[in-house]
Amino acid sequence: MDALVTTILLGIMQGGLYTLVGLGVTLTFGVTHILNFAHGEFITVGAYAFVLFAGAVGAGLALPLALLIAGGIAALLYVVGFRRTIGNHLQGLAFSLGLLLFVEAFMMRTFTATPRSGPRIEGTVSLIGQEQMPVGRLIVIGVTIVVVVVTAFAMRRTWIGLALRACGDDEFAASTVGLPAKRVGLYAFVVAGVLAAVAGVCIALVVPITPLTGLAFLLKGFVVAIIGGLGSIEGTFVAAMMLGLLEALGTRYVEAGLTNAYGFVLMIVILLVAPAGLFNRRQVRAG
Amino acid sequence: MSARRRRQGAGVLAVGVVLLALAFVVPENRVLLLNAFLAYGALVVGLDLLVGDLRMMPAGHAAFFGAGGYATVLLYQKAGLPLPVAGVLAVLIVGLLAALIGLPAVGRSSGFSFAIITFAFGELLIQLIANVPGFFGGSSGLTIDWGVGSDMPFDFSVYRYFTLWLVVVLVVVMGVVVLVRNSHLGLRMKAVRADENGTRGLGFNPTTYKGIAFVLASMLAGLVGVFWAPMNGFISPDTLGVNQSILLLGMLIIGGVGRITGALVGVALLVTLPALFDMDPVLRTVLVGGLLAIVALLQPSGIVGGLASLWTRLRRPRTPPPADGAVDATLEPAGAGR
Repeated sequence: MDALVTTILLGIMQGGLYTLVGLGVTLTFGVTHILNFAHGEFITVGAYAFVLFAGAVGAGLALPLALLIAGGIAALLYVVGFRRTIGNHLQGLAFSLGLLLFVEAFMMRTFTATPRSGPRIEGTVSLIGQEQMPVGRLIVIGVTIVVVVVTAFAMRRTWIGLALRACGDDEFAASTVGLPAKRVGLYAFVVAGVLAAVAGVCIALVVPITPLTGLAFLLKGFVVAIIGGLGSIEGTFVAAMMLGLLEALGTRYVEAGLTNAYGFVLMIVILLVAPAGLFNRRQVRAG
Repeated sequence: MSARRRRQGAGVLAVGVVLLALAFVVPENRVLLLNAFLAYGALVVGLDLLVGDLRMMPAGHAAFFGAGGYATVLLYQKAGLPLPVAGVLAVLIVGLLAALIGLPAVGRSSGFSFAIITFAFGELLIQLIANVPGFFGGSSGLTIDWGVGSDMPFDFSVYRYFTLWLVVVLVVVMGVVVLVRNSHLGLRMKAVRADENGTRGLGFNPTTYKGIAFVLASMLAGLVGVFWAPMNGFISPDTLGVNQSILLLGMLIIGGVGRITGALVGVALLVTLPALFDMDPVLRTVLVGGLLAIVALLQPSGIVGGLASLWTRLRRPRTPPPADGAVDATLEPAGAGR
């Protein structure tokens, strides 16, 4: 079992990124009941905005700009489009699929498929034994942990978090106290867009990005949101860590080519055993 | 019921005859374009069985198309079976795959898991193909020789020869769809779409009908793949990717859900027209995506659905709208499910 610590750390890093993406999926779904296939494009947009701005104005300014752009686009898309599709699942799904194709092909045309790298953080840290870990990856682990903790805290303590949870728990009751799903959905989309952009920036820090990066992570985000039970924050976190570790360990010790297959198999098995996902308290089927 | 079936059957035959005539007169450099129209047309019309009749949204329909193609190529080249036998077996294999993947997926009531599981299935197939290059040809794909002799009827080129077969496939798919929609199966599917729990109360299990429709639609997609792979002479994992699946959904929704004409208009608009003007495929995807988003927002019943409701409104100009407003007008365009 060589390189065990490194492998586990890599798994935690992937799990943290999946948590950020899955949280966005689960938040928007919990409030608006839209399964947003275009969510992955927020990651792509955030990552590209960060890489491009980092080259122009430096990484320090690029970070807030990237978050602002992704959050703004999420808000715009919600106001123009998704708000009208609430209540019609297929319409929302079709709209988001169209957006996915549009943004992905548009980015492909503008930036081509050539991978681009963000700013690199040099240096490695020695772990026990011979193992080495790049500092950039440790920073990503730290950032994701902080963001996830802050988000979980904000969901419990702040007004917006309360509104989001109220709408997710009981849409009708929330609307009677002045929190209509159509308005709270805007908060959900902005929060989801910003979380996705954080994920995008983190991804750009450790691996080269392409216009297809977002879609790959979106798939994992869906998987963890569904395994965790759509709408559940704790469930998303647990599922994301499970998936991240499973992938890292499986890639290191079983078969590297099948990395993406593990998650899908895990999801199908869990859906067969527990159709509502692991943490769905309301006994609503994730289906 | 039977008058409508006869009328629609005649329509299918008429389309078939026109396409057959086209197969003879199309200039040589446009034969491939016609083939693409026929194949995509058959795929989208078959997909409508799920989207239009049951409001199920599979995000991995192209996977079954690709599976049909791969199964044919492998059975023909590796197992040495003659092409017709390989084709029949391939369709059966696709049906089996669809049953295997569909059974856990179709029971999920609101269809999100269904979309995701079909999505995941397409990705899994690609992984499988990319990871076993020795057998499946890997990510670079498989080449296939024609599998038909060199002497063609009517002195046709090989591409034009396959045009005939693809016309047959399209007519078969349209025939199956018309037959299903005018049968008891179609009525029950309509009931499932309208009210799943109500259907259960009548003693029909919605999951059964969703399962039947899913396996049937997937087998139709596999059938298209059986003829497309040898015609194209090459098959790669790109054929069954998610983008391809979404493209199919896009054509259907833009053209109009629930109608054969809608599906065909969508294909003509998004496959044939861009190819006629030699449009860059990436630009075409931008166009399809943007159009899909706009149509889904503004006219969910699609172009043909919108025209049809416009036509009914023009024909009866003075009819006041029903007092309680058009019930469910966007969800149920006139003629949907026929």
